[in-house]
Amino acid sequence: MDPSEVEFLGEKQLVSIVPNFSFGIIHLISGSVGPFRAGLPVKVPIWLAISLKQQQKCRIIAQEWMDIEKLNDSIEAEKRSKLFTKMPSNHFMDEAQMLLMVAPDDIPDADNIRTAVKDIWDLRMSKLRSSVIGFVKNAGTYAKLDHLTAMEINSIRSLLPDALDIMLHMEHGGKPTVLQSLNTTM
Amino acid sequence: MSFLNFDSYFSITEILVTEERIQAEFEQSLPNLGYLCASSKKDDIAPKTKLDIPLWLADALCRRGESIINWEIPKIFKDSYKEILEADACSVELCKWNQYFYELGLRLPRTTTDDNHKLAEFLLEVFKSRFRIIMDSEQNPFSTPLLRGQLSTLEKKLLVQGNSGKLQLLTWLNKGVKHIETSDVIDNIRKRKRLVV
Repeated sequence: MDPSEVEFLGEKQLVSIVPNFSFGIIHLISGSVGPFRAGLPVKVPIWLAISLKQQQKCRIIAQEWMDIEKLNDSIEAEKRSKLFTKMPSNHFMDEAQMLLMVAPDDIPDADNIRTAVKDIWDLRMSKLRSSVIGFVKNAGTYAKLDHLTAMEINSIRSLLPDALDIMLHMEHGGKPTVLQSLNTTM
Repeated sequence: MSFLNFDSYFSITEILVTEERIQAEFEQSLPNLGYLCASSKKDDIAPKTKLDIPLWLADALCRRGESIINWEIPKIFKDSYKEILEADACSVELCKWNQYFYELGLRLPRTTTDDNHKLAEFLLEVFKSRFRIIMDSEQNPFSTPLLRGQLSTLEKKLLVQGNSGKLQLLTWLNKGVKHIETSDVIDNIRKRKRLVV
């Protein structure tokens, strides 16, 4: 799965904007957005917010968690804990990436937030790597994926599932596994 | 798609793996097949002749009811080589031992199920301890060519796939918001339509 596809899923998250135009409710398959009143905040999906921002029809309000103190607290918690800590959003990396890219002028302290988010990302990625290596080496039967976000899970998708598949194959001594024989009979 | 699933007639991996020669001792005499043994001038192959034959042939000869040959396990799966791998699997240049180390080990004819199971278990251990190399070099998609000599084909395939995933992630991190590209299939349909017109 391409990271931009994960980003596409992340675009469905809601964000508050302050429109500078008035418009009725827009009915979409995924739900209705609006009505838009100039100057009053309204929650819309990120993809719409980005599009409106690019046309300079709105101002984006930073997500609640995009606050340097809260992020620094998360960094500390992440450092202290052996396990993954809960992130404010299942798509924190992609949301931050998109919103900071499109609207750095609307988000206060954008540069520091970008660094903090990157710090959290790096911390979690190295944690993820070492736990994957440990998982493979000790032949764990299951892994707890609590609080892992979509982008992080996607980042090991290119390697881990296939490695586990190879290991399963070897465990069965090269014979077709139960799953494969199921597939062929179906 | 599975990396180790090569039980297909047309699988190139299967063909390459079974090309490996293993030492076999004939139990029965084979009339008129003397030309297989380059050093003898007789017409027949006598019993107790030792010959290196490809795995695909050995496999077929073993499968018959009465065994025609006695094959010997390749030296890379013997105890002395096992000890090397047990000592430090990561520093072995597996590619030089055999390009298809894992596949060959799993593909060897089945004599006793117990033996085969032990070998498979051993391969699993080797793979597990060498997984670290793949994981580490996956981090750097512009990998050093030195490493290529160290990995077996299976590990290389895994590494290439991991690298491409990593590269995608890096480009995404650098570029940020970009358009999702049309899939190749759709592009080709358009081209085909143009050709028809």
